Amino acid sequence: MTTPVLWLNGPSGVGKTTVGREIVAALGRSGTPSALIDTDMLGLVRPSNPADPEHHRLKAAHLGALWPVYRAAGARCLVLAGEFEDAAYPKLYADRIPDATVTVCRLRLDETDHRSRILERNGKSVAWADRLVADGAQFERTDFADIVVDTGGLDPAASASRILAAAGGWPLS
Amino acid sequence: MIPVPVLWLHDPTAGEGKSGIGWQLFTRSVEAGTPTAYIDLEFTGTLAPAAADQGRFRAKVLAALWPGYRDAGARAMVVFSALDVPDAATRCAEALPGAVVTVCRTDGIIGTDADVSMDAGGPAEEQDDDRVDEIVDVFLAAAKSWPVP
Repeated sequence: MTTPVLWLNGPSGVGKTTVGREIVAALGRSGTPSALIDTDMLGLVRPSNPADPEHHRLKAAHLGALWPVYRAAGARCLVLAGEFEDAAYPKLYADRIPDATVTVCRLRLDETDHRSRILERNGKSVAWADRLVADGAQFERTDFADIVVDTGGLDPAASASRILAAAGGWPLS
Repeated sequence: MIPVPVLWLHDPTAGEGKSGIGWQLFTRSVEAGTPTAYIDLEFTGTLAPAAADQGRFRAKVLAALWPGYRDAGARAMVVFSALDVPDAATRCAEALPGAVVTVCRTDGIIGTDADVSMDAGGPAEEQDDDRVDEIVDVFLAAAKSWPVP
């Protein structure tokens, strides 16, 4: 049996975790027990390891340790929320999940929507928002996502619906 | 077995996973020279439908994550939970053999298995930076020995 994995990628502030929660809630309601794991939360140890400065190896190992807990609790598919800009990372993480079939979905917003969402949700400074928007421009230059979904003007529930449709009815595609 | 000092923070008022009192307790511990891990049980993951026994499920999450953090050098852990888990200290200690758990609650009630008691000075209704610093000061002053078990 394969494990469907939908990886929501994109810059900070684009709504990966928020939309991920909507997706697993919707799937759970429709009879598919589902898990969301935020990979950015799996490597919070300081000081950092110089040999693994972004903690990708640690986070991947933690994903491998954590998935069986969710699996045993009933989850049949997995949504990951996490930021990466290198095409090699999905495999590093997916190798920790037996028989994973990974769909990478990049979430995007145009600069105006991205800046507005950051400021509305987090109350961060304009300078902080500008930095995250600049990160978003970096993501626009990546080309390894299976699907790209623009969530501009959509609330989290509508974004979730659009993503699942774009992924071909995930997890049953 | 090496004891694991764990600070379990129950803070129903916190927002984003890296903000608020839990994150400040984590950074203060690191700045004080103790390699520390931070686990936010609200933002690490979500299961839908939710596990029937949230206390047991969360204990398993801790048990899954601690070995990796320990191997990465952590010698103490701050755990944040917005959900009030019954017997949090006991559950945590069962999940982490050797854990010495201090439970902090932002409603001013502190229970612990390390014989610490303190009063946070009321709820953190507005977690502006000054307020967070003030509450963290109270916590750390009261839990004098943390993170040393």
